[in-house]
Amino acid sequence: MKAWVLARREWRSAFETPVAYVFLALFPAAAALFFFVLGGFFAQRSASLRGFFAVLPSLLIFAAPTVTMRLWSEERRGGTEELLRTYPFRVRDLVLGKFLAAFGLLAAALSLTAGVPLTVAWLGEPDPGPIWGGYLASLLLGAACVAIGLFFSACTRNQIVAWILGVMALVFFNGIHAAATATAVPTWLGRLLLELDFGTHFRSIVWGVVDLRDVLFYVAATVWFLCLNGLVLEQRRWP
Amino acid sequence: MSTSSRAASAARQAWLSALLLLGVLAAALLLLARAPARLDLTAEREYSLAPATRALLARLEDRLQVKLYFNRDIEGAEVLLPARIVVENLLAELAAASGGRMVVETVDPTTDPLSATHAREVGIQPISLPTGDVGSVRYTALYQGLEMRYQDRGEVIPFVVPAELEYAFAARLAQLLAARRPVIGVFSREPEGPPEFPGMPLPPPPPERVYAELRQVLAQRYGVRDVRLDAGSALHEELAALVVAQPQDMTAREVYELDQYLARGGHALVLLDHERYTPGADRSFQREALVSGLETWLRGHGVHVATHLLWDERGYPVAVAEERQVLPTGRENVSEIKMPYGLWPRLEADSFAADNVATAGQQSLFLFWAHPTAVDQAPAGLRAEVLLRSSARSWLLPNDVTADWNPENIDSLKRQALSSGPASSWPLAVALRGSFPAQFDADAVPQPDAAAAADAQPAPEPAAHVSALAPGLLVVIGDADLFQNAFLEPGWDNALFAESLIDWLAQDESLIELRSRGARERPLRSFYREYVEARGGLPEAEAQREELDRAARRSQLARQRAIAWGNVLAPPLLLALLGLAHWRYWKRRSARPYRPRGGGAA
Repeated sequence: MKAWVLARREWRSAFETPVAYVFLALFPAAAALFFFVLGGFFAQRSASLRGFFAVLPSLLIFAAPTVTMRLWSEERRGGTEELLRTYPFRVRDLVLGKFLAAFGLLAAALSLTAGVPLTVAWLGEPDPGPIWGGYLASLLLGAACVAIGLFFSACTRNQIVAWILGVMALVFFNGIHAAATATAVPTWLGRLLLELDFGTHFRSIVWGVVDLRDVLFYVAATVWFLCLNGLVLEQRRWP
Repeated sequence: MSTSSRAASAARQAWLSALLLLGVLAAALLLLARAPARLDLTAEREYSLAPATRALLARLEDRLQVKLYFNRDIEGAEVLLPARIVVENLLAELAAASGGRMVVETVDPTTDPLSATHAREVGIQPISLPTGDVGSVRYTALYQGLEMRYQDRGEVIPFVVPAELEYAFAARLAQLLAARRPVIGVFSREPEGPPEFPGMPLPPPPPERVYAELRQVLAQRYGVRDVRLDAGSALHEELAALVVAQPQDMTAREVYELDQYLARGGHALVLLDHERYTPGADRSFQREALVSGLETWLRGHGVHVATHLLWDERGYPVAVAEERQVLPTGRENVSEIKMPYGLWPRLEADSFAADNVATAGQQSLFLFWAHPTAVDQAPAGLRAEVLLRSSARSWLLPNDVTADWNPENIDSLKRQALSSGPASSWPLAVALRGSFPAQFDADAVPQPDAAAAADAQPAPEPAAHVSALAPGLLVVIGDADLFQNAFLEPGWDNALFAESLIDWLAQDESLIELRSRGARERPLRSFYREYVEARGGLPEAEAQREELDRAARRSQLARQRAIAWGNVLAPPLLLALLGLAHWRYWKRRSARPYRPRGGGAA
């Protein structure tokens, strides 16, 4: 409940500047641009949104750190982190509040892409199952990306550094499959790396198969990075 | 304890807790891997085991031993790793669905010589894969085969393709569960094939044995036997299906045997042509007229194979000339000039009957000098359906036209087709289902050829004359070339169509549904077609047609661009409006005089 109070405060403050508006405008516009204009949707002549959901992870890699980069680093740079700690909030509430605010903004951006499936439904008869799966996968992946971005925001007082670190980490987690199938990697390690790859779990859900293992993987990744975030904040309190 | 050491201890504990949490999460994931729970959201349940597969697994009474031949370390083929995981997951799912009666074992023939020998014996060969190191090329033996053993029988999938594994597995399981391998009979006028000796490689067939490839394709899952129709044998008991390939001068007795086979509930495929073309010099074809001897009998069932040849605008693009061009680098570039040869129609997804299991999953097919084939009026008790159709831009040509594939003749054939009448979509293959009435009277049965009857070993029992005894199935295609060696490369759509058709004729339909399973085509609405239809269709005159075609393309492009950019620009515009509304709200609110709570004036 306390986390919710903080999330609302963060949400409101995000909309006091044009940043949230610009983000909410650009994210769905970029998704539509890559899908309809650059992705050759009409050339494929098929009412399928696989191409759209194939683009989303790449967008989330850049979008999630953009949303989270200022959340902790700005507090630290402005000296308000100490002030925040004087409030009757536990670290858990603080981390969860920031996470909910950033995730809410990302979810709002995702919901603004609804025009794309509606357009495809007008143009043909897409299979609705994979579309719901695609949005579920995007929300789960988005949550994990936000948690990672938030963790790196807590690690530094510089927003740009937080953004760069966040993007690098997300590129790593989304590109593990390339390492897994590289010649130098033994098969057993390749199998392990594929299990850690964000894209492998994402694709499975986007194709319309919601496997509890994939869902739990994203939940675990989100929880793990939120815990690390809390640890970093706790550690800073110690002299 | 000092403050700093307390802090260090707290930090250690916190990190340990985090690691513990990671361990708990990993353990939860591992536990779930043992008891997977999944939800298939696709409309066609593409990623779930089909009811037919589950039904087959439920019929297992004994242990089904499945041996997977995989390299443990796939050096040089690491990109295949995700596909292998898909195969392993599917096999695990099949094993779970079998209720413990299916056991999967993985062996690595590259490290186990005994397994390698056994794999070779059962027909699983490694694929040689070149692996590139700097300055050298090595070859890695890659195994990806599957062996299934049930009771005293065995089946093999020589190379597992993940997308086709469920069908391949189910088809082989059905054969393992069957008392004997189903046999497909082939009747044709080809010369006999070379004799087979166990353990010896098969010598190449004579070139006149034009359906040798088809036999090989079918032999992967069926017994294939050349049959004679003149000796009088119990075909319906021995054969799962009969292929009558390019019949020529069939005798009355042969037609009678075919008639009785269908009347007893047999399933037959007739590939009928009125001529045979052989390639000559300078892109020419020699035509030889054929009389099948089946025309009257087919007409008795209402089937009519026209003598006209079909000219389809969607023809196979043949290379008619070469264009040589000298590049700025001085190198000469040779490119082929291709023209659609309308006598070889290319059927696309819209040409196949969507509600028939044999044709529903087919994406394309090539026919060669095809004839329209239709059922004028099916006799009582028989149900007719059209399986294949040409495109809507097709015409008929007399069958004695010059078929050469040089540019001048192709142009001439096209002009002749356009001037022959309005374009239409012609049926090219039909199926008849039901109880076939005999077309021969019981007291006028043609007698078998004495020499042929004497050849038959053992001498057949004379079968009783029957009529409409059991439901049969007859498929007639007005083209006998589509399954000939030259056009039946493994993996081509023609080969896939042959397999689907024979599966339909010989097997349980639920298995065919498995083959054509997958995401159904979901085409986009065509702005081009809508534009043309709104103007009454494409006119026959070429100049007007080209003008309308250009206008329709322009209209389609404009609408597509509007949709694409509309989607790109709509969110920013919406957000700009929202931002403006928000800004005005705050501006109005801040302009209001301050009123403290309780109603006091400012």
